[in-house]
Amino acid sequence: MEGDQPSSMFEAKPINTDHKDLIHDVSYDFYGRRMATCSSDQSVKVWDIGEDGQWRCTSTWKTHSGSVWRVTWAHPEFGQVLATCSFDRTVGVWEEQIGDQKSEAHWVKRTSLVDSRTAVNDVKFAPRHLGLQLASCSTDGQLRIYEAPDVMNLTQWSLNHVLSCRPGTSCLSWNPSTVHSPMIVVGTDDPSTSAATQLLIFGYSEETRSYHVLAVASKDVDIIHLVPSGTDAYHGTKLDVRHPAHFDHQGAQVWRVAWNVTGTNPRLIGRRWLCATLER
Amino acid sequence: MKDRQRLRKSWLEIKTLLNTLVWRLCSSEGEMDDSFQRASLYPTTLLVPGLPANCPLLASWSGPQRLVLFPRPTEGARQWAGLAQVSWDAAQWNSITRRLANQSHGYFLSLHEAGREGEGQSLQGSDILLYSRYFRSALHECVLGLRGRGSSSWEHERQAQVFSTMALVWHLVEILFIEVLPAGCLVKQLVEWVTWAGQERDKKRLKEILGHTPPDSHHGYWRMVYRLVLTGRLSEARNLLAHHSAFSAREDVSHNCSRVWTSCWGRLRWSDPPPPSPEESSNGWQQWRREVTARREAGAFLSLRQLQLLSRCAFVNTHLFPQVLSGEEEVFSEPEIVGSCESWYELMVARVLFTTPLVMSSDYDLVYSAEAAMKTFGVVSPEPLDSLLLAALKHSPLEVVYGAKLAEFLIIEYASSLLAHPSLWQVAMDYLSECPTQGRHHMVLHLERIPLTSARKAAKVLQLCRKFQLKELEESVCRVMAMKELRSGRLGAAFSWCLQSQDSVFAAFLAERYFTSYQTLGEFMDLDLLDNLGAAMLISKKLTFLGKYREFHQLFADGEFRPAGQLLVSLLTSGVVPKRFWLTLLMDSLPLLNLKDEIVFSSEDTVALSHCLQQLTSSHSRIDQSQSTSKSHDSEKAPPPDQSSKLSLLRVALCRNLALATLQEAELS
Repeated sequence: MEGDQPSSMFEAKPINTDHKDLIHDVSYDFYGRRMATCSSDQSVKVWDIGEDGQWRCTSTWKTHSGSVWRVTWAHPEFGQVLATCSFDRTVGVWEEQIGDQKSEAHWVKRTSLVDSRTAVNDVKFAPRHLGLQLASCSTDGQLRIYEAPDVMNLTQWSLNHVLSCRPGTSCLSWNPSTVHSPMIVVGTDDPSTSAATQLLIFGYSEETRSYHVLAVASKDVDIIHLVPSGTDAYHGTKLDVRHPAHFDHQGAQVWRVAWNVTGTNPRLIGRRWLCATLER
Repeated sequence: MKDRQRLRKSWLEIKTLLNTLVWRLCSSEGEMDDSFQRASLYPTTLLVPGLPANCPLLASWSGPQRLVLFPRPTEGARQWAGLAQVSWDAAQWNSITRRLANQSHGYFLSLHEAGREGEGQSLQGSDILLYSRYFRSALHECVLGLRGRGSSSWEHERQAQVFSTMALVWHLVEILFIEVLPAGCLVKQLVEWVTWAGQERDKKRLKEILGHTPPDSHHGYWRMVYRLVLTGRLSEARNLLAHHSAFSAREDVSHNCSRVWTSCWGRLRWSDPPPPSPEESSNGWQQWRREVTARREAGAFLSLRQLQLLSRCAFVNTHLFPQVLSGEEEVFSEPEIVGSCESWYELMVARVLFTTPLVMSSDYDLVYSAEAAMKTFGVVSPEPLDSLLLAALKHSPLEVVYGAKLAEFLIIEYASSLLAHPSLWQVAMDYLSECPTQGRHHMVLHLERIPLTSARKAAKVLQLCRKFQLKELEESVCRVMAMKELRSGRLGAAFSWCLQSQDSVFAAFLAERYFTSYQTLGEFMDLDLLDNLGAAMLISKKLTFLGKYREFHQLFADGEFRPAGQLLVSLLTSGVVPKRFWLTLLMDSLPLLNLKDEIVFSSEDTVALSHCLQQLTSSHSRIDQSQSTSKSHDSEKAPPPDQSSKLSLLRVALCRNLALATLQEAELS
């Protein structure tokens, strides 16, 4: 339905967040009933949806000493757990504590992961079937994968893998599929050079017990289709990158990467991509 | 005006994001035909009020058919720190449409049940027809409900329109494919189909016309007469004509006319009962046609034309009537005829009624008539409804080519749209369960996202998991519920959730937590759960240990020291108990060791206990040494001062017991 009249099928309503500065990320819990927002004002707010369908802020607290870039929820099997990453080079893991009264809920810092030497740009929990794992990517191109061996002890995290990408990694996404071996896609872009944007897909191989690059996609990446094409040196599945859809955007920056539900096609949303539709 | 301009300024497009959404829906289906995918890519433009203008947007999925948008930080958006939530398709599920969803869900299930009972035989035609009629009546009820609501909103009217169109198409499908009757009956069904939708409207108009005096002065009089003739309602047409002012004046003309009409009507071969064989009905029709033509040429209808000359102002061609009745094709292009039809398919049915009434659904005549009617009616660019009807008449190849795949895709789409409303999720699951290839996959994906807002809802989800053998999901749901209880400190409730899914890993973890809480509190919580574990004890070794430990306490309380002692020793030596709980168990042996009149432990038992004690102290000393050099990996720490006193107490008691036991055994032997 093209046109400039709002379709009655759609409803849009604003939510006033009271953040004192720009919002960098909004993330929903697994069921879509809790929301977390993070901002340049260094705080995170957690919202709950009420019976009337309105969002209410139930917690707000200062999380970092710099702008908070991303916030993400863990699977509810591990409890009510959040991870945040920030310009202050740290990743924070938070757990909700319920007070004596049900209305009192406050968030407690369980650990701070300080291995990165540059700002941490994205943090994501792994899919549930991989256990309690966390991946973070920094501006210097390092992708770190942590694991909490005891899911009840959120203070102990071991750094299992450090993977090197080109400097300027800005976003990452875990493959949610349960039938494939673990896979992460990382988006890099280096605004200082004229080099093209890039997507790197890392796969985990049981044989070497490490992650290695499965595929690289660059230039006009938007929707890519991964097709297995034989095995590589690590006996992992090599993937062919195909572009079933091209959209015209030059010099796009990589902002977000996402896998589709079945975990076979990652998508990338770049900045120029969104601007192009506005300039019409 | 100013408001509108301001609103327009703050509108932003999220066209491409929705494009991606639709693409994602299509591409996750695997190999679908290209053209089909392209057809589904509806770029939708949404105007979102409230967001700052000229600002790039970011989005996050908030749930099924719900998106939240916020501006990407740039200079322009510095001052704006808010979100906009966009949802779609949620409004379509109001109480009336939900009722329809539930009713149709019931029919869907019944049909599948009946199919299964048949054990491989295809469904009885009469069954399908029955459910088809139920479905149509449910649709009709829904339309009435939507339109009957006092001041119905635009949204309701739009929905009513959609559903009445659906009913129209479905009725045609039912006629063409489901209820296949012998030759000659199809056309009667088609007539019924065309008039059914407009019944109320026609009745109202007829009443209005008859209310006029004289009726023929009403501007819609002749149109109505034509309509009645075209839809085969000849007796009603005759009645209406009889009301014409000219007729009432001249008795003889009226009588004449009446006779002609009656003879014609009497010969019409599609009245009840249906003709016994195609040949007979064909003959009957041919004969009637010949007679009408003969009468027309003989001028039997002359009187009508004369009447026409009298009432010049009417400008109506009444000689069209005999032409219509004798089935001449050209007459169906006459403007009066075309003008009295509401839509092209009415014209088509009229044409078929008089030119080829013995048509079967498989004949090409139908399609030919349809296309001719569309052309005459001036349909240049067919709407979706028109293409659908034409496709049905053509026995469209869509079904032949895509077959079950298309059906499954559509069911999955429908089920996904049901999930937009929280009360319809179970209905959606039933539909998904009937899709053989992809249903299960989608079911798991959707089911794991159903919010577990209460124990009852979780129980319903678990019931579905068990029904479809989704073991992993069952475990996951139980874990989530157990974690919720654990966070509120209700260990016993957490346990009960865990036991429901027989989750051994989580049970082991919970057992440890339980024991740790016992160590800190000094007593058991939720005793009745532990006492009634029964066979569930065996799902995890740690749980078995916990059960046995409780048993030990019970034995001790009952005064059965010897069995209690044996149990304790067996627990410590079996390796079931993790090291960190050994001290507690050893301390439990202390009262047994210090019994005045009974020697509970034999010398062998005592040696075993001492061995355990030795292992414990040596590991502690190892920790002591290593602590200074490296970080401790385990949660074990150096024993605090009171623990070392406990250890020495134990050592003393064990030595004493060993001595006494050895003496006793020596005496006995």
